[in-house]
Amino acid sequence: MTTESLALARTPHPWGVLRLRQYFSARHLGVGWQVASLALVLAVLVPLQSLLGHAMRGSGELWPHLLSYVLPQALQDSALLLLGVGVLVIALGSSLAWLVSAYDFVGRRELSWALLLPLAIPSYIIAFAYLDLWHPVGILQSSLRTLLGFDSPRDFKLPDIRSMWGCILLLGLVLYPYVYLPVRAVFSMQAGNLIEAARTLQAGPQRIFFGLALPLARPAIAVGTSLALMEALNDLGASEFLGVRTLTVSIYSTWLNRSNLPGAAQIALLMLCIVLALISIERWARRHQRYTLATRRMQPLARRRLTGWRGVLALTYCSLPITLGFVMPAGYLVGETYKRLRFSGLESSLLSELLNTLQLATATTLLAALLAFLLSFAQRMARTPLNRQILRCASLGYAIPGTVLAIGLLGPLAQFDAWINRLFELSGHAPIGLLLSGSSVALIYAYLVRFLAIANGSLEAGFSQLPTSLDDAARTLGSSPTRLAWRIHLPLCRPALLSAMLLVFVDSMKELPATLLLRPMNFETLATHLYGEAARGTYESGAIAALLIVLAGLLPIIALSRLAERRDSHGSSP
Amino acid sequence: MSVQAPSIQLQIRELSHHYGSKQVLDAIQIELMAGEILALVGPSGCGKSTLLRLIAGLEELQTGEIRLDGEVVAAPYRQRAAEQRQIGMVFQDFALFPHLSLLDNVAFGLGKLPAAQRRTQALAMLARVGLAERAADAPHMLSGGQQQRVALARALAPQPRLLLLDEPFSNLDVRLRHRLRQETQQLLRDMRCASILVTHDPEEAMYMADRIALLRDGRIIQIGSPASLYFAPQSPFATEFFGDVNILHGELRQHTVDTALGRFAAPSLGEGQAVQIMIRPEALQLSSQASADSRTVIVQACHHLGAYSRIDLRVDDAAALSLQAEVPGAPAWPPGTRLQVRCETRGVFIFAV
Repeated sequence: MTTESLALARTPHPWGVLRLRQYFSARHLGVGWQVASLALVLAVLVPLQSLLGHAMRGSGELWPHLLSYVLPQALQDSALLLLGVGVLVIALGSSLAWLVSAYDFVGRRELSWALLLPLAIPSYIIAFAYLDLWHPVGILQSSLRTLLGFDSPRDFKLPDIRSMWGCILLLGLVLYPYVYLPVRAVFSMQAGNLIEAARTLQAGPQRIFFGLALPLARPAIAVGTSLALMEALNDLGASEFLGVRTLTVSIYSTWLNRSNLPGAAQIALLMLCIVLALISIERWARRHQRYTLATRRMQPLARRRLTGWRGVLALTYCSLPITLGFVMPAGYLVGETYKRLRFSGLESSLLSELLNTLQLATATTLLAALLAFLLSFAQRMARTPLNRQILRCASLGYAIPGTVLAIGLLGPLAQFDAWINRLFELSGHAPIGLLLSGSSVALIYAYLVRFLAIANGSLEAGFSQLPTSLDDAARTLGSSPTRLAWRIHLPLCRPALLSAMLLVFVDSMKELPATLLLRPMNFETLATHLYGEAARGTYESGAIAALLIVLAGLLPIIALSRLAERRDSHGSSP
Repeated sequence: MSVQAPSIQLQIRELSHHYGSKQVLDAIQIELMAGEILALVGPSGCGKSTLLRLIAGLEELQTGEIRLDGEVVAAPYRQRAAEQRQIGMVFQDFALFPHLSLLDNVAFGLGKLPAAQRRTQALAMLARVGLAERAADAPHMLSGGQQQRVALARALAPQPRLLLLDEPFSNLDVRLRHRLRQETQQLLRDMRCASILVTHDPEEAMYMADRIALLRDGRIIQIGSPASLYFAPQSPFATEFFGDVNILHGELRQHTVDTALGRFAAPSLGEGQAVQIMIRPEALQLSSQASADSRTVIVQACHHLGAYSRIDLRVDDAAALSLQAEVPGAPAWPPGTRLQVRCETRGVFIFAV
């Protein structure tokens, strides 16, 4: 039995008189924290509630317009995009994971972590880079022409990247690691025993992959794919640059170009339904996960050696997504940055944008780390069903696409500002203007709602590795909960806390959709600057900003691969 | 020094506990004297660990009352938090804080003292378990037995009013377990610390404890000295829990029952009552000479187990009943040897079926 199911078994059923008392008692922490964490959940739920309000208030004449002009196109594009990206990330992610876990070939070790590199490239940056790279007279097509012996774009031209398939390809190239990473973990660790058993039963490689490995990895594939699809749904930049009118793009333009909040809210609600559908499909696809996990003993898989042309083929196949998804766009950004610095120097505005970005990301990171630690700690101290729900709700924000969240926040923030100003007026002061909606507080709020789940997940995992007997020992030795958190949990959770902070930091740095909608006037982050440049068609000048975002995105990948290497060396030592 | 009358250190009254709709403890009553060592034994899932956690304050008490030194520490809606009970605990996985040195682990419970005093006391405690020179080491550098000693030192350092040990030796191999239980018992005796030991190993309980409480399905079914549980079990369950038995069946006629091994008296049971007769293997005495009350058995196999041997036997009659006997030394009877067996009544227990 896993520790979680054990805890579940110990948690009394929430009904009945005695049980009801336990349901609400946070035994060792008092009511204070309970109120605080409920407030936190409210903070996540407020935007959703406001979204509903706006959508309902929307005048009836909006619907005919939306129904006939906006929605069919948006729904169709979103559906096609999700389908295409889904197929691509599953195919790429699981085949690559299988190749690097079941086989050994020249360069495998390096490739198996390099395959994560595309994660560092946000979707709007790869689109931004490829608009130039793929241009008929750009570097990619010119060299292809030279290679094939054509001399002008009229004789040979690749299909336009500004299309649905271009968008699917580019999103797939940066999102496949979401599938690759968890599936690789299943293949290399959990499936080892079974695959070896299958080998002794004379099953061939094909039968092992399709009949055993793939079904075993289904829960991991489901998790990874749903994350990738949420990112795809959340994407604003790439779809817009490439001329794909998804729901996100429609929300954005409905609000920004037509200032039509109810309309935007209605589309946002529709999008939320799709997100919920994605979550339920994911849950359904991994409903047996606990069973599969519980019965396996960890056994790394012994790899088969590929030599000769087979090895070359494997190497080529694995290098392809890295080249297309990371090396080319990153190389492009480096080149453009170099040109830019060489010819016109650094823009003065870039520094302030960088500062804005860093400030926002730092504030979000610190707050998220603090909140996630408190939530996980409280959940550990009082494992009541209510706390479980609180943690789950507080993690819901990650699934809400940035535009949807922003639209949902606009109302409550304006409302809050109105109250504050009314309060000032009543007390005889001059109104202080827009306190929340016009400031970076709104942005930090939105980032927190969206990224708290990442920090929560990381800390929950960190906490779950600490045996509860440590808590019991500290308590029987006279430690108050505060001392327990400070002296035992905090130092032991430090790796989890640091990785949570790293992930939140990077995600905040590259956040685009919510930032575009919620930022104060004339306030630019690296991401919005890049978006602005791309929208104006001045691609090169956004390169420096893009490069900075990519560099920040590399940090967690480096940390991740170092961690894996350390684990490898631990595992191989006697 | 005057001899004081021993005082009651721990008193548990009418304690019951539920997980959901499942009752795990039912009307538990226990009194523990100062300096006494009590063992809670029973099969897994009998509620012994839950009882320990309730005493420690790690679970919320539902019904009943727990008094420590006469003062109520837990009653429904009125509980003292674990950190305010001054009850020490040793855990099955030792639960040493992996990021703290041994010294800091042992000093952890001495938080209220000034730093220098904390250090000397922790060092003194480490010295008592023979690990003073490793004070600066991290827990993962120690062997299992050493970790167990540190866990014990850490729990005892704050001079708890009661020490709880939750299967403290179960993670160790047999030889080490035997040595550590002796050392642990010595330390508990030296410090005159009232203790409750949870274990599923009856031998460990009999070795360590002044008294043993046998739990089954959340109820104490027998409590008493190790000898009384072994030699005067009050139920078939208790009899089998503390040692292997040969089981014979019969029916009472005038307060006696006839079996393949002879006639046994059961004065307290009624006429015609169906009974089972449980005989400990060491109560079967084997010899080559026949006596008035002996029966003939045939050796099936001899298993030499070191200081003693287990002999598989078959009674030489129509029913051909199988038996196991335990004898000192290593007799070398080939299979088929005919021997005489008689029962020592000290190891024979008769229960109504």
